[in-house]
Amino acid sequence: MREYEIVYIFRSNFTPEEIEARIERYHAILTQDGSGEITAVEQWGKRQLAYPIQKQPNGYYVVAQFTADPAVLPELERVLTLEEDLLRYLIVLSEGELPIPGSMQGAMDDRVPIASRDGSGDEKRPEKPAEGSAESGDAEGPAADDEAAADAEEGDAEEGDAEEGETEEGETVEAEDEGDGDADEGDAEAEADADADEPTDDAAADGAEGDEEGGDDAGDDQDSDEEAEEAAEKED
Amino acid sequence: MAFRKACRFCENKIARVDYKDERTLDRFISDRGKILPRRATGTCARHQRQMAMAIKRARYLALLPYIRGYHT
Repeated sequence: MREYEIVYIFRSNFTPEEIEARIERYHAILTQDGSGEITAVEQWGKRQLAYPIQKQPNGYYVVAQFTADPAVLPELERVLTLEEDLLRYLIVLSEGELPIPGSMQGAMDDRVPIASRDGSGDEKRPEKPAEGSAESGDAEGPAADDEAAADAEEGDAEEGDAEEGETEEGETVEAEDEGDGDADEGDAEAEADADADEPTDDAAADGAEGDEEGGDDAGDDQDSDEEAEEAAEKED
Repeated sequence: MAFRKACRFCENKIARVDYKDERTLDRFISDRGKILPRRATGTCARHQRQMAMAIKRARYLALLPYIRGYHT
């Protein structure tokens, strides 16, 4: 038994109930032999895709966590690839410390307030859960591809993890505080870093836009000049 | 530069980079969507590896663009 996480992207023209019915059908494959268990299902809802998939600009995201025997995954994947309404899916080994999506959020996000994001009205993400719950399933047998590396890293990182376990409660508080006031040191540093880092992106982007606009304006000016000249010629 | 910028993930005690958190990952890609090098962000080696994988997963899930600006 291993812990997995699966992300579905459906076409966006479905109601939550329709989506739920489909997901239950998939999950029945995992649980039918009695060994698998769905531990969490979370509907993000309709979101804009970063690029069109099958010419669809939007997708309906659902994230689920489950434990299952690796042997049932090929059957699940076979069914999923046959689904026309499923734009894309991704099954990954679940990462112990992050049982709930978005638990990293807020900790580093000092740039964009949640409310002002594109399409944020459509998504809902749960609050950070109780800490230190996971971390258990790492002792399982030899792991496939990336999980092997991940396990090894965790072995290396145990000291650090232990420390984190102790401080995490405090951290949760900090993370929540950041939304309110940007007073404490961590924030100041973070902002300083952000200032140092981001001009490369933003300034470059702005510069490009500015240039383009400048170019357009110049073109317009020329046009208007030409028009003026033409007009002058006509007058003559 | 004499001193090294601290890794943002280490500073925030993030043990595992989340591929679903595109807002955080977004600041580690360039204005064209390329993964920024460590020398630009100060990320430590471990988190850079995790982050690179997270960004690639996020791209697959259309949470991040492969090439920013290509479809607009």
